Amino acid sequence: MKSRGWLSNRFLFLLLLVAVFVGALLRGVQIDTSFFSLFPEYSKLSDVENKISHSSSSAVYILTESIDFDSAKKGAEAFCNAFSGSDVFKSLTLHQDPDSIEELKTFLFEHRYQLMDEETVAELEKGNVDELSKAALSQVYSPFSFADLSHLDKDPFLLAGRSLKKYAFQGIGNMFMKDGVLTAESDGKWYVLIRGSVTDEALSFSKKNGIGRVYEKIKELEQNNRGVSYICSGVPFHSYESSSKAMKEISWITGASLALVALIIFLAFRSLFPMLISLTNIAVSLLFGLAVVLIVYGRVNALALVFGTTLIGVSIDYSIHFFVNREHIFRSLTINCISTEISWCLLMLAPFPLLRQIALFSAAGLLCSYLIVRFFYPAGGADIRQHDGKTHDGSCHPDASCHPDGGQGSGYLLRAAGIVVLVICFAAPVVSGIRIRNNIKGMYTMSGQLLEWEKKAASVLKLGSTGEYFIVSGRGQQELLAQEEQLASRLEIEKNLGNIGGYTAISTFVPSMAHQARSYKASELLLQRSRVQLKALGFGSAAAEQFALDHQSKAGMVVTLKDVPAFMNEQIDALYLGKVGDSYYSVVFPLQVHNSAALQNLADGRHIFFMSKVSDIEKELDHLTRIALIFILASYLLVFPFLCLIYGKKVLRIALVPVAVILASLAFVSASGGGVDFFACAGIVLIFGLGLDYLVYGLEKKTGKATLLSFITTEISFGALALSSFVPAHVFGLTVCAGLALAYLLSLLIGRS
Amino acid sequence: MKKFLLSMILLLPLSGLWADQLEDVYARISARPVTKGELAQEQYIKIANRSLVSKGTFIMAADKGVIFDITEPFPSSMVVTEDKLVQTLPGDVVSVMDGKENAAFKNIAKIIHSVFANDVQVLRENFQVTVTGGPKDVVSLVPKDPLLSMLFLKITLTVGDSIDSVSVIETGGNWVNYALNNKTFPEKLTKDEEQRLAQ
Repeated sequence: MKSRGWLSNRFLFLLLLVAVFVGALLRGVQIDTSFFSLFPEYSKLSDVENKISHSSSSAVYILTESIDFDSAKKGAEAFCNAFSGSDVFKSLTLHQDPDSIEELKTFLFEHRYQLMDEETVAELEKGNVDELSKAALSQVYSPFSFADLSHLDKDPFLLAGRSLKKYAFQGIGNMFMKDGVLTAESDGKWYVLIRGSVTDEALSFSKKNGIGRVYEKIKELEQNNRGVSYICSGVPFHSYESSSKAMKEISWITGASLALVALIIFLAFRSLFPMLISLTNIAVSLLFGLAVVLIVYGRVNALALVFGTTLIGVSIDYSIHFFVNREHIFRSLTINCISTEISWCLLMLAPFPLLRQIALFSAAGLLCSYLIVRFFYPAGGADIRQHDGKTHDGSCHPDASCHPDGGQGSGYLLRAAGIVVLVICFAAPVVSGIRIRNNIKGMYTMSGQLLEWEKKAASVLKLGSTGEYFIVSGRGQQELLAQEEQLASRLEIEKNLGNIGGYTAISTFVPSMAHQARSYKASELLLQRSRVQLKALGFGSAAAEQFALDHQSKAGMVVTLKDVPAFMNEQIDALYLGKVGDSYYSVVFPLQVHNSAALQNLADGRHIFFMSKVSDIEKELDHLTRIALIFILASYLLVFPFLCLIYGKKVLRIALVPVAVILASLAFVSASGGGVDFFACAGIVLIFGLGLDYLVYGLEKKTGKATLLSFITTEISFGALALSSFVPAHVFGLTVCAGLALAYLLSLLIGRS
Repeated sequence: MKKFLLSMILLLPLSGLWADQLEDVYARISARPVTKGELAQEQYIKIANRSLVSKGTFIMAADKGVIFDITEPFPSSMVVTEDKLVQTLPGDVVSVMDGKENAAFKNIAKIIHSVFANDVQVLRENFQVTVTGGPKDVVSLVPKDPLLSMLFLKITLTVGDSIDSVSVIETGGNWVNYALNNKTFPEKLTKDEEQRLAQ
């Protein structure tokens, strides 16, 4: 009966494995390389933020550099030709339409009464028609003013020309149009700008990475066109760099961990069988973890795979314990599996996409490893026993109860040593202090060339944008524009105070209907002056009558986002986020920010939100770190009653150990780095789960060889991760490594005393 | 084909000649550090089918820039330097196209400045240049860049010992003639003029 139950369980488990693998294959294996997955969802406006991140995560700037303009332009044309029609770029823009300025002039002329700027409207509302009139006349007569006089009879006050500068030069930074391309001259060199947007496929590792192809082509073009070099800037290049590094690290961390783990198992059991079966278990568990993540998320982040390599060291524990202790260990294995799964499941609740993937990957892989041991290992037990050549009756087992050091005298010594270590653990935070501090700038370091490129691109483009911006919301488009205008009026004050150099906002292209109506009403004051104005410009009374009729025909006209010239759409698309949930959103970018504190005060928290990406993410990570600490406490409170039920009085012995390990780990991280960051804290959550295992094995009298082996293999995995160049992985690995070492030491001293 | 090759062969020396002449013309223009005089401007507005006439003065300092002051009928001034264009209108309304603010402004200012200054390289980079000799040299500048063509289609300078007139053909059939009369050639600018060009 029992045997049939096992068979049925095995069959169901195999069915589950097959279903999960098939499911993952059907969804497709896609590796996400998004740079932004490094960061948590850091604001209440995360959906809006995702829209901004999505557009910036695919945008690239490529500059060609040469000592003469023609060569730089030719280099840019060669690049665009090379990628014309390729699947790397969604869009690639080099040539600017020379008719765009003409198109803009027509747009401004057609809507001149609705699009008067705030300054002109205010002057007219004050009744200063005379100043406006004189200024226009002087402009017409001024030499080399290049005023557009082609509609002088209909626009004698040159209203259209007043806004031209604002519209034509917004958001192009240090670039200007030359020979149909955007160019800049800096330090005796010419730069030509190519703007592009990379396709999602090109960013993925599932096909040949598009950015890799860009680098190859650039190298080829630089060889063929001596004197022309290329400068790449944009998030996709950073995503490529971090994911390429991640993939390399996955290879060597996995390789090194597996090799060491295999060697240790072989040396411990003097047999190939446990080694091979353990490695098979690891491979299946890793694939299962990956498949579950692919099914749930559709793609797996490259950085999640780096963290996921730790599964090697954790999942091998079950195999080791089984080979040493056979079926007698199943109770301990089950308890440990539950406690570790609780730790990972708690991390799955974090509002952090990357961490959720890591947690799901590890939890699924670990569960798979446990189930393989549970369902399949007993079936091969006889064979293993033969290889092992030992029994499991306890008499020759390398566990604490039969160990020569497990006597009464040494028990006191161990207990005394344990108490000393506990005291040190509890005192450590008092000495070192516990500081929560996240530094996202330290999370990622650019390679030399990418850093040089970014510096060069920033100095050439001079776009002036920083990581700080406003998100503006409204129930409808008009409310949104009205809110933007309120913000814009306050930003104008900040500009005059020198706190910012300027700003970009969609309301500067298309004002709200309320502003347009006000603008038109103010323009009515020009009617009284139009006859005199037109006469001064050489037109007769018929022109004045026509002017009045023309003005009347523009009444009730409304300019919308759809009316703006096509060449401005790209800029508007970057600013207008559209409807998200129940509200409409847009972004306002302050440029050349000199005093960001002054900008924070402009947000009202209802319709206008100030976003400072770096500090917001750091604040959110600090917040998450505190939450993670609460999670640890919650884990403790969840697991403690569960252990109480199983171990009764003995539970008091293990109650102190996790607290001591956590406090000592926090002290260690605080003392060794800038403070306890989120990844260290995530590591501590895991220390709690894994560290508890050693105590449980101790209480179950299953310490000794099995626990030592599992400790060593886990340390190998996390130690390898600590060598990663990816800072969060390094911090996570190092913290777990140090914490587990302490947990193991305490399990020896307390558990066995 | 033969005709084309022949015409190319005939034109080649001419282009070299124009190059030399252009340098000669601008060497003459910049030989005097400062040129001052009266400015008579006639502006033809096609849509009104009439010309608007204005008067004023000009100051040309080859290496520093040009100042145009219109006094009649509506006062205004325009200062052109290598990196900015500053227009002053009644009521102290100042419109500045500052190259420090935007590279596009700097480029426009540099090109306009090069028309009056001895900056032949910038002229050649931005214009198709032809020079016609005669009693007075006539320099024709046609913008290479379509964007520049939106500001003007052609600039023609008539140069004797110094620039005598400038005519600008604009888009839409409009044109402007600037006649530079009663010229004097002081050795240096006054402090006020220096200041205006340096602002």
